[in-house]
Amino acid sequence: MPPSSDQDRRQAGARSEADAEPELRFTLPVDWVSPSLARERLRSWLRRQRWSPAQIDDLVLVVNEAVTNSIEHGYGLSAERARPPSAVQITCRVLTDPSGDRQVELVVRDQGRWRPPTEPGNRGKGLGLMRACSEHMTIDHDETGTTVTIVSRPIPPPLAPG
Amino acid sequence: MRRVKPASDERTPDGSARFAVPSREQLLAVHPTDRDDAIIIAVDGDIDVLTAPRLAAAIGAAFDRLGARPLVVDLSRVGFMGSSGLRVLRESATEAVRHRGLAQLRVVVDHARPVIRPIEIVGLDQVLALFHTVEDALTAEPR
Repeated sequence: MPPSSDQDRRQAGARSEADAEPELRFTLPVDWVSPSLARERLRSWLRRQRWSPAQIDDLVLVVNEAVTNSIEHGYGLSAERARPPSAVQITCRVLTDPSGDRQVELVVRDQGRWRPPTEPGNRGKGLGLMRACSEHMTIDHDETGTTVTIVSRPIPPPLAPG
Repeated sequence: MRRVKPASDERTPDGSARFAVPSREQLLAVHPTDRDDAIIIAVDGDIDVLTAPRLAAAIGAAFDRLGARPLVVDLSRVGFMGSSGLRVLRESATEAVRHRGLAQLRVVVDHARPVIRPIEIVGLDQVLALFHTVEDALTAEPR
């Protein structure tokens, strides 16, 4: 039997260890503890990808700000106002370029209402932190929700053991 | 930050029990110590949207009884700080100097990158008096 389509999607010849968990996908409730859960999940996953420790700190800050924004602003500060199954979806995957350099693409999506940040406000600062800690960031919003996509700065592939 | 957040860590909107939910106390411990020469607030854990109001409350309470003493906020055991924590520091620093006539807020940050990096990104290193150790913060000349 040929490998499943899930296997086929992976890059031929890429390092098998880094590809063992090519994508992280989870959903969190509209709750004030969700930023801490997102930080913990992302940090342990990036460690398993042997990510740069300094960049892990940056990306953990990014996911914290994105999830906090979804809960505090997208869903309007109140968990009660978020109708089930309101939630925040987080997807993170590793992008490998032909030279072997790696970036992570982090996507945080909610079904809340986008509000432009007001100055001087907390959220403007949060978006600034997210920009400072990533290579680029895009925010797409429509009536169905808001999607924030962040791509990290590239890091070199890990040296082979031994 | 004056607004008190709802205690939403006690419930989840979808009624799900799938999440191992940490309590506020597990995420952040805030311990004020009153000394003759200073009040020291030792902070241990993560400062985020859930826990930042507790830090704000501890700093506000310390301001009320501070008098001429300096306030030292020791962040050397903080493992994470996001914009919610930065906002508390910024507002506390402003409150101390502009509205209460107190000394500049003294903050101990050690070399913990997850704390010093966000402080530097938003330029708070210009507003706070930063020190590497509590001892340095206590012996510093007022600025």
